[in-house]
Amino acid sequence: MAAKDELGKTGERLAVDFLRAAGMEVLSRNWRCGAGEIDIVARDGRVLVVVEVKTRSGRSHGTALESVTQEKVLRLRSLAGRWLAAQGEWFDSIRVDVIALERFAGDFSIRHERGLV
Amino acid sequence: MPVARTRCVALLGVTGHTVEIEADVGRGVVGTHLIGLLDMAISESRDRVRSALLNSRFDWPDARVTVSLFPASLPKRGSIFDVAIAMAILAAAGLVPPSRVAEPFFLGELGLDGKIRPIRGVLPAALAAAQAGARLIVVPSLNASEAALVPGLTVVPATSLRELVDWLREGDLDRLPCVDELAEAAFDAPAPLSSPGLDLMEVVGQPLGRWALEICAAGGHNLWLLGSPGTGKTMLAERLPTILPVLDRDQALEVTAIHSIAGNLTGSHPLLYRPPFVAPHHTATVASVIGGGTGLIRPGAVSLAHQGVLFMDEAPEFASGVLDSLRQPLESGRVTLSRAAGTVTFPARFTLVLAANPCPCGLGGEAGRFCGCSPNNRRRYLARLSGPLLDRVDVKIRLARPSRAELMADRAHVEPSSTVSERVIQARERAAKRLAGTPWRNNAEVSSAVLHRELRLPSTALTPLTRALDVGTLSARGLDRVLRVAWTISDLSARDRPGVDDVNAALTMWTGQES
Repeated sequence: MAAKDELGKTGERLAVDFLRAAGMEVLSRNWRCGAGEIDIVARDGRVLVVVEVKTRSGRSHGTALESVTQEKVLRLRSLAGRWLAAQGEWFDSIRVDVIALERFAGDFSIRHERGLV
Repeated sequence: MPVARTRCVALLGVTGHTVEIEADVGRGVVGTHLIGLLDMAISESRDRVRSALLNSRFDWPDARVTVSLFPASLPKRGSIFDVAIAMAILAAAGLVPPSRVAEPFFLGELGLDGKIRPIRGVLPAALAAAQAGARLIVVPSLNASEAALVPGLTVVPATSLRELVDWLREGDLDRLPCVDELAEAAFDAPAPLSSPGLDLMEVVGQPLGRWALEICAAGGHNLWLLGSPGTGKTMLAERLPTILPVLDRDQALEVTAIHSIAGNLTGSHPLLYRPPFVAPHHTATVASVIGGGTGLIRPGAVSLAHQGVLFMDEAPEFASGVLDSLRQPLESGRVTLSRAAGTVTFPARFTLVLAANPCPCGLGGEAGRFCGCSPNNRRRYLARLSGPLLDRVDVKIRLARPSRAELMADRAHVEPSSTVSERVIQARERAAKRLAGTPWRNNAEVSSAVLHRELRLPSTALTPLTRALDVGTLSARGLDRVLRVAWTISDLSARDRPGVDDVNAALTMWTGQES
């Protein structure tokens, strides 16, 4: 496995732990369809949360958070619709979150931005 | 998340408007958004500010940054806002105490390396800031002496973003040198000559020309010099500023503000206290003479010549549109320009000096010389100067080539500019005393009504004029013009009111050249 994929996997594992610790229930991981992939689908109370996990090994090429553009967020929102259509559960509303991880001195910093859409 | 606020100035012509800049560093998709009726140069400011911050070893906030410039209705142009935008973002991100940036005004453009670069129009911007109640203003260090001309303002010169932030963090006013004392030095310094080496003494053989120049300097009259090449038209015109009095403090600030916007001030001695001399080339366009330009509206030659001299050499060669566009500023002393960015009024009260050859070949009317121009050509040449324009020129003289005897005789009579300037100052003082309590400063500005009421001359002095009116060589407007010049001539000879000789001389100056 390439180093960047390894980093991404580690990041997603950490993100899942983080979400669970925050009281959210992870419904699905790395859900794919023809239009793209959702890293984590979670439930926060009665809200469906689509989470994008971004992991960077440092800040030299910009921060992890700023690499998530408005366009990417809107794509995730439309993927949420496809995910919903594929199963039968109902939710009050849909939210798109970003979890940004940056490796720093052998450890990771984690930042959770809620409700970008 | 915090919102930070700071202030800057948007310039529209020579008037500045306070612009409040708010930055919000908050949650959301990461990005930087600038709002508030901005042009290209300010939208680019996003990239300049970001690079400047990063290269000054600050972290760019990893958040959604929104910068808003108020009032949103005012068009904002140029790079003057860079430093203020950077300060607002730094304060909102918590890197600088927000309370420290809320009160001062920040002016300046940022380089990518974090250096603060000089900008145009610092003086009018600083004046506007002072009017808005600012006590502290941060300007690029290369513009500091210009901003220091504004009374009651503490000027902080800044060379780089890092240095500025260190100063704001420590809150120590003495860290950066403040230039307050510089201002006083600028006003007290002896006035150097605007064009060193020029002196009226050098114009030998043209006593009439020198006298006409003196009259124009004393009364603020416009001048029209007609003569063959080599008779000294340009020499005379160039020496008009040497006999004009130096500008007073208010005038100097006003003139300097205009030149500040045009971007032609020197860093070390920014204050212009000599009357400016502007001589546009005859291929000049209307926009360059009157002012204009897309985007930033720039002052034209008429405004750069404010409180000074606008010299149009080879006047008939100018495009007729350019010459006729002078009529509005000549009448009102200001020029109003309307562009998409807004309507701007620049002051433009200048002494107009026109110079022309009598015909395209330049030899017409010279004794003993042959002019090869056809009558039609000669007529057309001078007809390019429209009647309405010449109607606004009080003194019209014809310069002839002096003979050898005249040259020798005149050597005994030439006076240095300093002597003439002394007389001009005294004449101006007499006029100012007489016009005290009126809006006018010199004879050329006095209204027709006052000329015929408060300043009415005894009928004996008016006889040459009534005769000319009867014959038809003098129009009603011409009558006022002649009277104004007559008052100036009497001021120069320290008489209380013009006598019949003064009126005669003024009449010759008005009609003389048309014959």
